[in-house]
Amino acid sequence: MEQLNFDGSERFCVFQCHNQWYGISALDVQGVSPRPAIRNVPNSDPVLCGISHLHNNFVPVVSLRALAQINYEHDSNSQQQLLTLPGPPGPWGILIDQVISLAPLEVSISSFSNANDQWSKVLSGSASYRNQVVQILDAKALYQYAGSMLERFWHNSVSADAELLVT
Amino acid sequence: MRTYLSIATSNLICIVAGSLLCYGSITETPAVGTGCLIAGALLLVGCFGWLLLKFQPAMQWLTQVAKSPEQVDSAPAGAAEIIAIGQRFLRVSSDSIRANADASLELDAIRKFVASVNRRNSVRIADQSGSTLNQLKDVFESLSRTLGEDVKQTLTSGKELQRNTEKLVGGVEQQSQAITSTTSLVNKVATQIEQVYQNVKAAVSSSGIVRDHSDQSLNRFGTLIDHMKKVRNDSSVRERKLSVLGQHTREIGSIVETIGTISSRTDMLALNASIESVRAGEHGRGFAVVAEEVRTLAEQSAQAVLDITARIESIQLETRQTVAGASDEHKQLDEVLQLATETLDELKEINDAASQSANSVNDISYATQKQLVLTQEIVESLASNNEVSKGNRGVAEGVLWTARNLGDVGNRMDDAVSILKRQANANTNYSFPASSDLPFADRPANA
Repeated sequence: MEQLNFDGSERFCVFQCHNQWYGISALDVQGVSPRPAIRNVPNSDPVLCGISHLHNNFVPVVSLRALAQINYEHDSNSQQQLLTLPGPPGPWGILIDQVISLAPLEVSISSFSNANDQWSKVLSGSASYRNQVVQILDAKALYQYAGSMLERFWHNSVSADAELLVT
Repeated sequence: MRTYLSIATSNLICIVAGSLLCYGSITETPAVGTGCLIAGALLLVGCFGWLLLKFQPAMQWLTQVAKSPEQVDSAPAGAAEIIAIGQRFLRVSSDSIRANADASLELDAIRKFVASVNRRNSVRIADQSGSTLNQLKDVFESLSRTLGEDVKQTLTSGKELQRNTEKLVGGVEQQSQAITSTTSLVNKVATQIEQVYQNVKAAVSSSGIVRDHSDQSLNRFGTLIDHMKKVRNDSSVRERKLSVLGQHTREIGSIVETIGTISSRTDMLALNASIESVRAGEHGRGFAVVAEEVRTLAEQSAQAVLDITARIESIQLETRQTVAGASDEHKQLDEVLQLATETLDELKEINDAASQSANSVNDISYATQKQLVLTQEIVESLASNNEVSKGNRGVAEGVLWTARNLGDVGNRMDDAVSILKRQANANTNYSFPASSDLPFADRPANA
């Protein structure tokens, strides 16, 4: 495991999702809010929970459980929170269970970051906080991973529709 | 004894009167003869009047007894027998009075004959014509016949009177014994009634005590029921207050929940402030410190809210248990109050029964006391009857003695009538009887 350079000034937003602790750089976080009303998008991948209207912005909401391929039934817990991240076209959010803290972490680069697995590219490292292992997420990689999954789903869906039209 | 003297005196007077009549009829001096006849007649009339006055009370008493059949019916057996004997004695006495009336008629015939002899003014009876002697003989024969029948009837009546009087004495003796026995029995009954009366007095006292205690118990139980009702009302008020307290606790829980929500929002707001300060870089360091402090306060508030919530949940649990206990207590109080009310009703019935029992025992006591008084009066009446019976026995003995003397007198009169018959049957050799042959010659001087 390679030790990341850490000057102690970078803070991470530590949060919990399905008994897993995750951390993301505070500079990549726009804000935290209680779960807002989310409207489902028809014929979309389960990764996309829906669209929400937050602070006068339409925010697409992505399920972290679906991205991490964690066994789950449904992200309908009212106690969930929405972690808003800045994106190229605008803010987007991921549903989490609870923000634990905003703390500086000593991050170690994980060895599986170069693997072919897409989810492994999202995980940039790990840290220890309150006797818990915190997986450090790369916000840009997470955004690209979610976008690729949605594009693949919609592409497959359009191809199936075209084949259906041809036939 | 007094009756015997009276009869003897009357006989003596009759003898004197007869002697005067005889002397007046045979004397040669008209004035002396007329005086002797008048004196003899007056003595006879006086003697009969005196005898009537002497025996009038006894005759009235017997007549009164004979005229009271209701007393005969209600009297005991001995008294009824005595009254029957008295009635027979009354009949015999009536026969005797009738015989005396016949004798008086015969004496009047003699007096008329003597008057006719005096009118003729003859010198001696021996010189008289045969017609006069025959007439005198007829008169004496008629007189002896009548007197003989009357004397026999008088003797028969006297014997019957003697037998009845003996029965009367025996009946009075039996009556006295029966009254004595009845008095003894009534005395025993009076003793028993006295014992019953004492027991009833004790029962009256006991029933009074029972009634008083029943009244006190009734009053105390009524007070107890009032207190129980007050406790039930207090329990109801307490139950309502506990319900209100539970409602307030729920409201406090709601407020604390709101506070918890605010604390959570504050925490989230502080977190966002910290994120913004981080994104602000060096310019946001001071703001990060403030946001961190706010977030710490928010966490403390959240922790306090959690503690308060736990306490409130505990209070709510205890309140619910207390309310449930108060409800159970209220139900139990209702059941106990219902039982107490039923017991109070039963106590009232017991009290009424005790009062009725006390009144009944009082009535029994009054009746027993009255019975005791009546029994004592019966004893006194029986004692008085016994005294009266003893007096009747003395009277009956006197009547018996008189009847025996009357029999003796009848016997002597029968002897005199026999002598008179013999003299009347002697036609030619008529002579007056000697003084020793007279019926009353052997009569004792003290009689």
